[in-house]
Amino acid sequence: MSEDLDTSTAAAVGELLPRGARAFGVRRKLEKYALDITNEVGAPKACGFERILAITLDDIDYLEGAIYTGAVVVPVSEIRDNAPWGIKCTVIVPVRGRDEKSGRLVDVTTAWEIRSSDAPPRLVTAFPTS
Amino acid sequence: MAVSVKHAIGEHDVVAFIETIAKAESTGIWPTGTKGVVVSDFGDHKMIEIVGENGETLDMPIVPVDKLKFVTKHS
Repeated sequence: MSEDLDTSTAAAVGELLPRGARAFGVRRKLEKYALDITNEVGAPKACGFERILAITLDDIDYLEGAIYTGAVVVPVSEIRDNAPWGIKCTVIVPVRGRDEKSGRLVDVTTAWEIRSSDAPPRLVTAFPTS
Repeated sequence: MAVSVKHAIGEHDVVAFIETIAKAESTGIWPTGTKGVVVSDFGDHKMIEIVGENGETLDMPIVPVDKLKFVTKHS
């Protein structure tokens, strides 16, 4: 048996996202999809972020940071098998609003794919709960 | 002569189903013409997010690329 066996490879509900510190893909997902009002399918997400949290593409650094922080401190709430392409984990990240919405703390549902037992999580999608 | 341009489908592109697709998160089917976004790319298969009117995820089936029609480019 390998002495380098990573015992944190298995995702579990209630546990932190495996290899969350190595999570990636958030900025591009927000820029090209979840905060992009020109994407006809993604536009409701962008409108939701603006309406609920006053977060727009101008706030991408803020939201990106909040999601990466959530990836290392918030436990996984759901796991779906994605065979043969690994698994999909849901992490619900509390995000504080901006400007006039700064008094609101709203759950943002994030979905992460983990393609193999040693792969870092990559953001698949995100949306705020109204 | 008209020239047909075939777009390679990439992540974040908007696509439409060219035939019915089984739902991944529940029973039933998505009808032909349902639009979604490629949220993960597995080469000859794509994970497609179907989005509700408030931006929430309705479903994320993994679909063979030959059952998808390119709609708009965002990749």
